[in-house]
Amino acid sequence: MARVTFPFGPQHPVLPEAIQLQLTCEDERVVEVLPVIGYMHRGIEKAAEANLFPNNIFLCERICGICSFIHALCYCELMEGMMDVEVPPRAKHLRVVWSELSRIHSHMLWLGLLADSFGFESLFMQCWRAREIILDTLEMTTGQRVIQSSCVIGGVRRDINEDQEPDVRRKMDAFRKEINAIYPVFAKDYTVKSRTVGKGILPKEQAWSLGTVGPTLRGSGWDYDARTLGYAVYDDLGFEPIVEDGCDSYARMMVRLHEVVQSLELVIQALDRMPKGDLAVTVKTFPEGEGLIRVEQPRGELVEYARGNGTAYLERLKIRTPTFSNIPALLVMLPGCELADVPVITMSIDPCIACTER
Amino acid sequence: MPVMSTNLIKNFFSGPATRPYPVVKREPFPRARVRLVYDPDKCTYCGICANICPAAAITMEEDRENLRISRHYDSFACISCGRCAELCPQAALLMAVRTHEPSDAKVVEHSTSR
Repeated sequence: MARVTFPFGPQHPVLPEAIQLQLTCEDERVVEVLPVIGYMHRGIEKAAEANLFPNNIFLCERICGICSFIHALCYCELMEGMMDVEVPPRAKHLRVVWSELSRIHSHMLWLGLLADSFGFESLFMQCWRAREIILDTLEMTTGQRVIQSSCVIGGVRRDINEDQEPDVRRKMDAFRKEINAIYPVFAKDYTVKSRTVGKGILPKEQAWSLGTVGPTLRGSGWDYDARTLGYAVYDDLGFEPIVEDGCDSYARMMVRLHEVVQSLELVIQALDRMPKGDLAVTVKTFPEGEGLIRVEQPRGELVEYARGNGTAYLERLKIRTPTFSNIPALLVMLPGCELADVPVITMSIDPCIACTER
Repeated sequence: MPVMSTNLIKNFFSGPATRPYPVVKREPFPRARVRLVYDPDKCTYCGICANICPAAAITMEEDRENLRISRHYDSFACISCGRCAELCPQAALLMAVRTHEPSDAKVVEHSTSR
């Protein structure tokens, strides 16, 4: 049968950001796929070299609008490691609270977009309505909805004080009700299952050898989560990674759905255990030498490398974002699938192209 | 879609999640960080805000002949991080919770020391 190659994207209704997939099809079946990136490059790594190093926090946050707080956290932890700064315990707990809230809102956004990619609009709206509770909590505690700007080198800038804590807990209870209503739909609904179960298979061995990270890797049965490294206070919170063995889009979806529930518990735990004390320590040194850090983003493992020379400017800042590692998995997932399943399978790796191209 | 039906019935009887925006506006959170408000009477033109501004929205210019310092603030470059308001020793900068009014043109705010 004749083969036809055509572009899927960069502007496509199902793709939240610009990525092109060159699909080669035989009839309705995909045989080959070639992802093309490079539509959203902004030169953030180079800009970071021209900035004063504390100002890079605000730059790093703007790599991605969804996991902004975790980008800032990663950069701050890296600089603190390079300068041997000990962060106060209260600041560590607050960092966990905000990064888990970011994770919840990223996963809720993704669950909505997944529902949208197979045309389940009412579920999409329901997910985004639930996400609004989390965004309100973030605005209430940090001051802004999406770009929180509350992490600084040496601690945090904002506090969740005694007046706010009951409000945060109330919001979490309201969110729990919402997620309890959404959970069975994703887990049991016929429409969701028929579009995800057995679609976009990523075998266990290939998931590891292709270097995938995050829920894409955990959906293929690997017990790997950068939060187990114990940055911030994750080592004290008794955190266990969520693993599914299905290797398909459904397994990846269930990992994220369970992570939403788990993150909710982590937020409550961090609030319960939050000690009193300072929010930040003053940092008077400059970064020198080299540093590398790994933290867990909603999409997977984020790696940052920096080289300082003892001045206020960094010589190099390298950021490896999770979607960059997850795109090769599409070369295994997509061949053999039906053309109509391409949007759902592409969404199942949670592509964040703005992150990838920085 | 029998599983979703329960949610749909509940949603049908509960009120809307959105609000008719221009008529009904949401009250901002008391600690929201939206707009930078500047009080030139309190300002000593020390230049801390201009030095730490990550977006270079605040700039200071020195006029050595007339012994004056002028400050320029471009609200369109401002990323509302609130770092300047935190560090201002005179509390001449504050973060307000209300958003900007819609504007037709880009306006840069100027002030000069006496």
